[in-house]
Amino acid sequence: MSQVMICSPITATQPYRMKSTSTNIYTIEELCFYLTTHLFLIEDDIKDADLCKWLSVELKETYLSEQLLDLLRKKVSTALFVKTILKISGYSDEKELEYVETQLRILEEKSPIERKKMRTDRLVKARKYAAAIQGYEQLLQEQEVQLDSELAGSICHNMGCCYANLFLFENAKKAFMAAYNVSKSEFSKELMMLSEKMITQERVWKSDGQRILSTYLDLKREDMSKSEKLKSVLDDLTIECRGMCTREIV
Amino acid sequence: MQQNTNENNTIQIDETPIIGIDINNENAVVSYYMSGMDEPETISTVAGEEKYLIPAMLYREVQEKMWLFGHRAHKAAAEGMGLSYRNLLDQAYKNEVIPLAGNEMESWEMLGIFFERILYLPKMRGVDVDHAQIVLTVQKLNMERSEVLKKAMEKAGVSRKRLILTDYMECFYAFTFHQTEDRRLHDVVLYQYDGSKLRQGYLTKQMNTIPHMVNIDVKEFYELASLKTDEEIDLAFTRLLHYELDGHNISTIYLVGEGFESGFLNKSLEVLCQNRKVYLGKNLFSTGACYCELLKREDWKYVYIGDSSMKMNLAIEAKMRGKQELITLVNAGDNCYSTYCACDILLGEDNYIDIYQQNPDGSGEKITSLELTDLPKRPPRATKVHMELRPESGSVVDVTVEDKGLGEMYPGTGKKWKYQLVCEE
Repeated sequence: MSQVMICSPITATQPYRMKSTSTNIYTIEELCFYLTTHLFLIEDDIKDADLCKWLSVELKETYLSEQLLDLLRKKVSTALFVKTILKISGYSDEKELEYVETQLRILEEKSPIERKKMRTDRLVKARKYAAAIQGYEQLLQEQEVQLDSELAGSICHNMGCCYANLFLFENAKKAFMAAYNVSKSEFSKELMMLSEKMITQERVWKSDGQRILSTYLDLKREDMSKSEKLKSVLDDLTIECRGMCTREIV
Repeated sequence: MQQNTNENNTIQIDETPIIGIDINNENAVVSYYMSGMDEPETISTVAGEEKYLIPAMLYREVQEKMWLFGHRAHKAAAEGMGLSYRNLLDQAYKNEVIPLAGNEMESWEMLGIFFERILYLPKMRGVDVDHAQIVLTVQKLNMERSEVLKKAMEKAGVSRKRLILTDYMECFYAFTFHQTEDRRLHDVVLYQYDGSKLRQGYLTKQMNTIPHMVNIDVKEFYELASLKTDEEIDLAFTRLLHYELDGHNISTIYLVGEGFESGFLNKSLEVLCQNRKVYLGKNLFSTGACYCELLKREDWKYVYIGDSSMKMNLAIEAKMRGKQELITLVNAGDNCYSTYCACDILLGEDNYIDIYQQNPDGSGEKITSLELTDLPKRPPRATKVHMELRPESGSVVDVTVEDKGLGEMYPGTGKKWKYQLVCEE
């Protein structure tokens, strides 16, 4: 049986703009979808009186708007604010509400640097590599003094993954090297060497590249004798790079 | 969700006046109902008399460029030098172009002029015509005819939202069930005779179902057309009544149509009046048209599935404001010429929509999955589709589904899927 939902018939003429991603929102369903799928990008500024006004004026969600304004006056957490939107609109079931609340509470408990890193990691998962690199660079510049070696290492490592996804292996090599220098992670070192080989010659993929990938990234062993298969290996690498970013480093 | 455009705001509609118009090629009859009235009133063209028939014709003076309608048009046509226009309904159905003093006019426009003129009549009696619900009834309807009538009424200033189209049998049903209990205790019969063709509507009801199902069996007889004298017609009608009605338990018989005005009823009248009430009238359909709209405002326990009625229930199981519900899209028994349903649906993980279908008596139950093939790959709840249901007839509903995406995050492709849901026999 198909699981479908009847949408609200109202579409805003003036959208609400999500600042962190510059996304325009026109309906209550879009707002809820955005909130549930961009949890790690949600910051305290979502508790916005303009959002409450927009819900009332543009979407005629008067009750929801009043409840949110009340929460704003009580200075509640972001988790409760977001949960209220999802609950009153009827978008999320109990299971999803619980998940959203838990995730947002976990985020709230983290330090601002950790939160920023987690959000940037999410950008990588969303394949927004350029934005993620920018985010990591900002983190490194702003928080240089406070970063411990492990966190700095994981930021550099993940930057390397982003560059690898963009096929900028020169930059990837530098990022992995930085990660190794800071954290002495053997994994970063392996990927640094792999990036270096990627810069120099294609044939690497027919021998060492495949071995390294198979050993460390748990890929299936394949016959890579034909050069046209190179692209598929590159794709595999990019997939695994994304996987690496989501591992719990911090 | 936008559903059945004629059912807007209940509170507002309860106070809305109703105008029932019965039209055929020869005549029109206008009835109206306003809040506070016991029953609809029919407009007589002569004050104090029951002269309900308004000739369905227009007349135009060449010099004065002024339209006359009804009796005045009839009189002017006999005396004047202008142009008279008859058979307005048939011509409009045929989409004919009518010559007009060196110019020409679409036939549906001319019908629109006639509607505009006859709507003056209730206006003169204080009815708020500009906001009234107009119920137009004709002998037989189909989608093409309904489109012509809607266009003509729009020309007369009646928007599609304010117009309900129905047929004579539905008016007979609505009229019957607004009469006193004794007149509809058993079966009820309608005879409609225009002087050539005799039409019989035999109304029965099933009281053991909820809601009570009402059925009207329609038969047409052509034997009277070839007969010349009143005696011959009377005898033939008597034989027909014996054949059709003997052994049946009938409470009331209604006789309508100009054919019964000729006074041929003699022996047949004796048969008609055997242990039952018989009424002869001209305004049954126009009054019934008002009742068709009135019954929507009442706690109604009957369902009649006629030619103009939807013959299936359609529903969708969906979440609405957080609650999982079976949401009705189309109601069996609703007028198919006014039925329209549109809604936006957010898809879950699957690229299909299940529509539940059921006949009014509970049979023919089935689920049709509307597959939305070649939909772009998107995460769950990132695809909104706009679904429209438009009946092609009472037994066939066209469904159109359009991909709308989800705002800027997942732009819609505008791709459309078309399906047809057919009533299960």
